[in-house]
Amino acid sequence: MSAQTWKAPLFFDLSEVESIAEEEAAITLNYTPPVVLPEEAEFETTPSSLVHEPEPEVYADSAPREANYQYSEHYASASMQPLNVPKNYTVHQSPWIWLLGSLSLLLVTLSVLDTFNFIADQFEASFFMGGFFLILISTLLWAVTILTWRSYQGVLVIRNISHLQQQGAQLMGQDSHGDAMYYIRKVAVLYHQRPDLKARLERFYGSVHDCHSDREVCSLFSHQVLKDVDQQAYRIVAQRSKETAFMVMLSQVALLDTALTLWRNVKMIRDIASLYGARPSFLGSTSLIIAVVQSLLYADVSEMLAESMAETLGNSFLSVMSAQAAQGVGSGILTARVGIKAMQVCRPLPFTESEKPRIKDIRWDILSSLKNLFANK
Amino acid sequence: MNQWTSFISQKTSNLEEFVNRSLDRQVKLAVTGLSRSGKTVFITSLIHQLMHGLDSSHLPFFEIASSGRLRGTRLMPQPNMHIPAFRYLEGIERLCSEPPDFPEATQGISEIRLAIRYESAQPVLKYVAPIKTLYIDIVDYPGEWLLDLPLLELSYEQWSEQIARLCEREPRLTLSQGWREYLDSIDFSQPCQDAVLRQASELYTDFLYACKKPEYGLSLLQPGHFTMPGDKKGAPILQFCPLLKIPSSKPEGSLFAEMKRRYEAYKEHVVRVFYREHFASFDRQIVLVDPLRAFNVGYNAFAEMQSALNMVLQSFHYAKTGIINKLFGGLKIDKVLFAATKADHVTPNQLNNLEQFLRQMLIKPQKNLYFDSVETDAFALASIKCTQAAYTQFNGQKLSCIKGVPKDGDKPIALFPGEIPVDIPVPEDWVEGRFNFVEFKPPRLSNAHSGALPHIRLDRALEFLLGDKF
Repeated sequence: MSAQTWKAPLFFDLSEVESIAEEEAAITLNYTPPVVLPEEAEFETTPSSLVHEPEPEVYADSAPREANYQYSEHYASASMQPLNVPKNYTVHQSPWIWLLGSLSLLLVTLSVLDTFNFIADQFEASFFMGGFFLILISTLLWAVTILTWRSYQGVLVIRNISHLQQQGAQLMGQDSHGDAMYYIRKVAVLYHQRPDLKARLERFYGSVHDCHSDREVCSLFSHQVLKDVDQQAYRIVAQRSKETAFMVMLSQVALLDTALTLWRNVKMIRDIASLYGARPSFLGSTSLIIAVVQSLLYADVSEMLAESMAETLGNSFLSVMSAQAAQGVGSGILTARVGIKAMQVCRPLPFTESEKPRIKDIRWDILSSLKNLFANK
Repeated sequence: MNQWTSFISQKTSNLEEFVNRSLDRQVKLAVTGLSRSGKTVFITSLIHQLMHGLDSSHLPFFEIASSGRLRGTRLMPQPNMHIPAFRYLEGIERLCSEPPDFPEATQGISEIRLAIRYESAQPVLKYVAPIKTLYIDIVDYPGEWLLDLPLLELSYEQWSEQIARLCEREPRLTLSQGWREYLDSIDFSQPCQDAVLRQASELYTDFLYACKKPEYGLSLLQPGHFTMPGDKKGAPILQFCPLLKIPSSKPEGSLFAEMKRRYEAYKEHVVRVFYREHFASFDRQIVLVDPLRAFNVGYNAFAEMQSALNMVLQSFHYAKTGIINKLFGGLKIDKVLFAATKADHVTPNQLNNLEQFLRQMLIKPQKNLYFDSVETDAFALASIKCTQAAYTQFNGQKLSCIKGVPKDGDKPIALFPGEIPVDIPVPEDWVEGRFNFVEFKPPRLSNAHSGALPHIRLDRALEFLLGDKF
């Protein structure tokens, strides 16, 4: 279509044209009177009726988990390459890399050799002892491999989400048509296992039709499917912020404050990620936390300024409260901010301006719950 | 004293409506469009969507329906008893008939009032008045009459000059030949004769009818009641015509003076009444344009459609108003939607081009509205979707096309209808066979009485026009 443009109308033979299943369902062109089917006629319902364009179906039929791996691998290769640094820009190999590399190689070789010698020694001493240690060490190796693999998968999922976000932002920013359903199906794979979203996904597939532009399809998906997830995530953020506020307010030790805030924050980030379908492992959540912290660091200065102004000056309640409570509110709001950033990092479709969760409401929530606490006393 | 009481009683009779509209409980929607732009179909479809749009997947972008807060819509007795009711059921009946057909073109003015029941989402009102009602008034009228509105600003001499200038160019030059020759043979400073007036106006009306023919597709046809007389057929008020040359001496009782008198009477008793009763105050406006028809005819039709729309849109009052302004300064249109109809007659990937083109075409009124800080937007929409989108292989590439039953056939056809240019085309672009948008019949709607009609972007239009009133 884009390579060549046909300006004048072209007529086709009806048999040459591929129809779209749901278009046929919505509009009947048949001018003959309807045929009444016999009662025992069988009706086939296939999931392919959800498919818009005739395309190779990669994910719809295979089991969701498998599909997950498939496409994440597919995207891993793509997302590895976005930074195409030209060769002449590569920095000279630092001696530190050689030092660390050779050191770790030495360590690995030594430990492998050592283990081998150890097992050989044990076998020499007795067959039973040798066998026991061999099994033990193989189990250990197997477990480590599995864990590493899973973590790697987790990292890939997070990367995939950021890749999806880029694609989504692109689709929502231009007036294109026809690419969005392919993208949405990739996003929907993240939610195939969720029974609570099944009805919403079905409703989405029911209401989207071929005449919607890419931007419309994205905003429809965002509104009909992700809005629910957003609300759940928002509730988690509000809950965790309130918890942090209480705990910090009650604790007397400064170090404990920090530990508590950190613990609640990490838990919250992981919760939000799994809510949006990222299911992070240890390594995955580390990279996720790094992403969140990065986006916090680069947050708009004016936004930060406005918020902290409101936090410090906005509420007369704060000025009469004890320093302890104020500290609690402070770390609660920090948690809320981290949570909202985590939502932005984890959501496969980027937020539009009107959908963005606002910290204002959470702040009000925290303050009112603290007020209630004092009032009850 | 008497004058004051009558003034007050007149004010109080309208007071309820006035307060309702100021408080967003009632909306008067202006459906504006030249003739054959799809006003009647749009209104029919809009009513039907609102009445059967409770299924949220059908109007996904109409927030009140998709969030499940819409309780339902009902036709209400209209406020003005002397105006015929809009024949909604008749339109639906025609759409469901065998074979299906579009509702008939409008011959006269008609009116309808809808009541939309919905659940309030406002935090406080949710508890005080959980179920609220919004009334929507819509007026349907022949598009030809819209072109009378600019006459209110013109004197007879100015108008005559305007028409004379238009008749200097083709195709009007040839079409108006008979009428022009007759005018040249008459001296208009002579005393008035009824026969001459009748003959001149008849020839002028014939000329207007010729311009209206599909192959010319001209839209700037004034006065509008000449080609769509309604109930005024044959009245002397419709027996006049513009003059190509204004005579130098204009004595009392001459043909010229009589022409001018009738023109003024037409303005006063036909146009101003129409304007005052139906057009003086609106809250929201949708301007329906059918660019595909202009594409099919040629550059002249296109240019004329553009200038006619420009002229018409100057007759409405626009302003962004707050509640205080509404109560004391009168009601004005604060949101305008420009819509290209028949979006189903092009392939889905051309919709964006169609919207861009519409923006280009109406850039002048849109700029004026922006100056008045009135919110505007432009969509391509189809009130009733008549075609299916499909794909085919052509020259080894996948090509998007549409399937539908053409207006003058019984068998469905498949075609790629051609590309919509994004920029305003120049006359040279109309090469042979460049634009040929086929018109389609409505689809068979077996369940239209209960189910919703297929559409394109009508939900977004509804959201734009009414979304903030809920």
